[in-house]
Amino acid sequence: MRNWRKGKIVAVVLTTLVVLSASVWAYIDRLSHATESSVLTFMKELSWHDLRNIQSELNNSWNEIAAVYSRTETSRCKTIQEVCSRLNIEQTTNIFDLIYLVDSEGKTYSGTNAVQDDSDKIYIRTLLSGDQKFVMRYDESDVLETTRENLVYGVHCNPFRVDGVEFIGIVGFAKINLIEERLKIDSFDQQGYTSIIDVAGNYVVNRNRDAGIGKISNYYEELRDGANLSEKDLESITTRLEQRESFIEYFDYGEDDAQVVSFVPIPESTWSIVLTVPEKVFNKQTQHFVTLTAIMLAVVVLTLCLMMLLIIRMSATSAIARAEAKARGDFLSSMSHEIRTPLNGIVGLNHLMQENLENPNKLKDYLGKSDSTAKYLLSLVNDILDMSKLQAGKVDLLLKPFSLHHLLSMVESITRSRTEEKEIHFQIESDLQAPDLVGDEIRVEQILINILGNAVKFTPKGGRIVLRVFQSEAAAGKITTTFEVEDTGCGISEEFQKKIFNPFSQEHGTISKGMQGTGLGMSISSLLAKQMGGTLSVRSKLGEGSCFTFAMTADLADAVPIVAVDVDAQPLQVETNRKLKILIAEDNELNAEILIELLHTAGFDVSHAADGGQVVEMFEASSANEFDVILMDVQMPVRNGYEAARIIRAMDRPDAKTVVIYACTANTFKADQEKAKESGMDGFIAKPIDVKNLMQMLTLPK
Amino acid sequence: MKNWKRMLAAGLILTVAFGVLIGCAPKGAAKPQVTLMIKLPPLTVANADTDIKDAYEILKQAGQEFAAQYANADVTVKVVKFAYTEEDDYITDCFDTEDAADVLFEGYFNMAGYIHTGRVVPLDDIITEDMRSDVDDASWEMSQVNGKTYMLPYYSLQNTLCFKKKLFRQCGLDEYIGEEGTIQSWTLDEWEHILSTLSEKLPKMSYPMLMYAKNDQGDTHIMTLLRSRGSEFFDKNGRFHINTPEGVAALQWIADCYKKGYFPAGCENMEINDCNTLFLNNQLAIYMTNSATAINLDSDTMGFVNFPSEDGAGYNTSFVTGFEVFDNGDAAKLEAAKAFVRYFYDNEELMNYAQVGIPASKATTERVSEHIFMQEAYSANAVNTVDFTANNPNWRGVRDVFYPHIHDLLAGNRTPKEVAAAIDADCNAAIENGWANSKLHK
Repeated sequence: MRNWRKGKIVAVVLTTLVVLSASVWAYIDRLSHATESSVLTFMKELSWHDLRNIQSELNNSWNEIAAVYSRTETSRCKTIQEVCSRLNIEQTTNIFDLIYLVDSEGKTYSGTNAVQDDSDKIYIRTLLSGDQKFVMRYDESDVLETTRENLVYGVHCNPFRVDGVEFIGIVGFAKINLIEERLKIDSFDQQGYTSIIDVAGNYVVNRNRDAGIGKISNYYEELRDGANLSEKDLESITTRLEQRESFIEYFDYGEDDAQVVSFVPIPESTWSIVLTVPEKVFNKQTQHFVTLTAIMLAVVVLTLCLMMLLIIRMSATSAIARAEAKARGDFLSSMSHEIRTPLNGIVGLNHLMQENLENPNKLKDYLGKSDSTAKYLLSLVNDILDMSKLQAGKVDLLLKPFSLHHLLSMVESITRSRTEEKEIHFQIESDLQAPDLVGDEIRVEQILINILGNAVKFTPKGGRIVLRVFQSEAAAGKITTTFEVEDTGCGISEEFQKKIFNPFSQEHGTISKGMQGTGLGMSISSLLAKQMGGTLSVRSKLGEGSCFTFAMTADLADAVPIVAVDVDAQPLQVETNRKLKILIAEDNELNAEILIELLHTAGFDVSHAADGGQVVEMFEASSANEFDVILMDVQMPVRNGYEAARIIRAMDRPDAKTVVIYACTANTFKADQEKAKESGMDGFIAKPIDVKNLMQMLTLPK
Repeated sequence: MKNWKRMLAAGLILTVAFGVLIGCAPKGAAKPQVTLMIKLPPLTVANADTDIKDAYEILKQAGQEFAAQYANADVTVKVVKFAYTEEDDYITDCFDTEDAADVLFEGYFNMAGYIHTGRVVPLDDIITEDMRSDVDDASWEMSQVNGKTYMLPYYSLQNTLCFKKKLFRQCGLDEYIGEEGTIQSWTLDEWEHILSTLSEKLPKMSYPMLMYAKNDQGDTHIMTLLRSRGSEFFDKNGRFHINTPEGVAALQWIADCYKKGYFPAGCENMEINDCNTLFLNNQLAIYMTNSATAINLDSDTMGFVNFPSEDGAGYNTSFVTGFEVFDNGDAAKLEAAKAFVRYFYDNEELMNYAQVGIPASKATTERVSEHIFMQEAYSANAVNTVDFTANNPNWRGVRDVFYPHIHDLLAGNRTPKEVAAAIDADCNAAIENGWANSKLHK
């Protein structure tokens, strides 16, 4: 059963983990895709932003160089020198370091007065070929010391003539740094970078200056060497760019990490924008989101757990409270039922007695049954009070040395008479190593009497009951004593064995039917055993008998002298030449009347005080030694019995200390008895008063 | 079975012992990873034994060879070539970045300023006695500040003017064309005659002499022209001293020449490269050159002449090209950078490329003497060399403020007297600023 539950828990945990892992994996996968998609979109936007930037730069440059041409044309220069001087001034006011007017034969005319046949230069050939406008990188490296990286802008314009020369266009040389500045776009924390390549893959602007000025790196060569791209792959890229297609590619540079590259062709040029972002940027972005999400999830889960914990605790508290309330309800319900049953009997018997006053035989029978029912009711109330105090933890054990021999003797004497009545063979088997212990002898006796009482009750005539007592050593100075009560009674069903120690539990079988009991005895015994740090258990077989085992561990005590009789109240010693005079302090008129009648009938001289004040006054007013005994109720108006006793004892008269005062109360707990002694009372008579006991206490010599 | 167990136990013990031995064995100290950043502007070199003319290629080769044999670190050498107009971007703007130059190969007139940033380290610890005696004292003196050597000279170039013989002949100036392989000097009267004749006789859109003021490139040559009327240029403290009758006269001469059409129209908006283009295109008769640039100018068709001087002997300038080493806060890099320079100087093949000018190393000069362009003429003309920096700091600052005043003069915005005063004020302020901020490496 336990293994099955363990397996179930493991399965639930594993399933939860699997589901959680799958969910997390799916979430991260979706998140990665979403982040990747977001970064790709951002890359596209950046590329288009770069494109607009570059296009704006190109258009501005073309417009500017075309404007120079227009102004030169409209300045109506008459000589080439004037044209050159005009260009010389123009050069000081725009971004171009050098401006050439180009004639129809490919000669160039500059603001530096240089007139050269540049028809073999690539930029002039491009212009002469009919291109309306162009831009290209052109590095001047004829003379090493004057090496210069230029961007050459060319615009084919409407022709005009000066001094026999027909100008057809203009070219301007600008420092490459200008467009380089335009490409310095901060993206992805400066990890992404933008480049421009021409149709052959040559960098228009070298991102890496390692090669030195005048030396152009080639992007396609980098792809071929670094990312191991085949010629076919490269051809695919160039074809797509030639077809003016924008696209994004992934290149694996091995140890140098992978790169995601966005290609965007620049209209009206042979250039393309290449935006490169290392793949780790994507991972970093995803990681960032995952970290944030994990933190958020952890916070949510923690909050939920705390809330769940709170709810569980509240539920548990509520459940306990409900269980306690139910237990109280059940207890009260059982108690009500148990009390009403004998009360019903008494009420019914009283009615029958009234109906049969003239029939002495029936009256006697009813009186006997009424007495028995009243006694049962008394024992029930006592048990309920015991149970209530035990459950509330208000029972204090009175630990003092006692002798197991004495205990067993007491138990035997109580049990023997009952077993003999039922012709049950009762036997005590003891093997005691240390008979003298420290413990609450009364409570131990109570447990044993309870168990033995049940055994007698449920063992049929001719049966057998054995009380075995044996000991085993426990810790230093301690010993464990085990009491086993085995009978050959009706036995207890397995089902009932589980709840035999619950309050008001009684088995209703054919055998046990008719066996009256409160149903609290075992419960009280079990609670007492627990309070002593011991155990009470049962094993039984229906129809064969039961065996109750009570084990307790107690400190060892020195040898305890055995006292034959031990009673709470000291019997009264009076002079025999006169009637004993008793002062009754009782506020309840019925109780007072009964008690007065009882004592009168028994031959005592009785006076009655109706409250605690009156009893003091009557005693004070009496002559010395007038009263022999005061039966003091405890709960009375004016002042309670304890106060009254203290006042009487404190009086300055010869009999104040000697008059016998018995507490006469329904408060029968040990604490009440102690309190009575402290207030100066001599003994304790419990209500309802056992007449036999009362008479014994009043008549026996002290 | 027992044997099997023994063998297993023995194997385990051996394995553990071997592991312990390996663990205890001194591990080879991992070499530091060093990336050396060597920077240079476009510079021509020459070696009769190879076709290489770009100093960049030589430094690349030297870097690879050096890295292969250097034992103290795993060195990666990066060589970066920058345009002269972008020098600030590549040098001072890169200070304290991973792109900072560790070694700079350039002309002294720019490099000298960096010494005063406190980042250039003295190199005396790598200069042996043999090395010191192999270089002439004048070169060492140019390389030193406060007695410490901060630059290592590689070669020197002598700047003179040059002229197109063909154009001279066209204008009837044959008598002014000297012998092949000589450097001429003309008197001021001869200069005036030649320039006026050229102006008169050259075809339209052709001009007698170079002039430019668009930027600082080639400003040394314009400065040399300011000595033409007897100006000492610097005072005894090395400060600009142009605002003198001689200095003002020289500025006036320049202004007059422009008015007379001796200089290209619009030259105030032109740069030295533009004049180079005109000269190559036969539209300019007189330009400047040195042995490095002469290679590109068809030296057979050119005559060589000193800048004009009042005494007629003429002037030339000489500048040294060499190495500087920067301390960028990484001891391993600094050690490697010094080792690289030392490696370069110990390598005859690399040193031979100095034959583009006059090699600083006497031994190299001897080795490649036959390949040095006009060595004899340049040596003989050394007596006419004038100092154009006076070892002043912040020479780049001086250059930044000098050319705008020449631009103003040519554009007619200010008089020669005003320009002279402005040059003195601004250039000397730059120098003072250089001294004020001067910080030498400890």
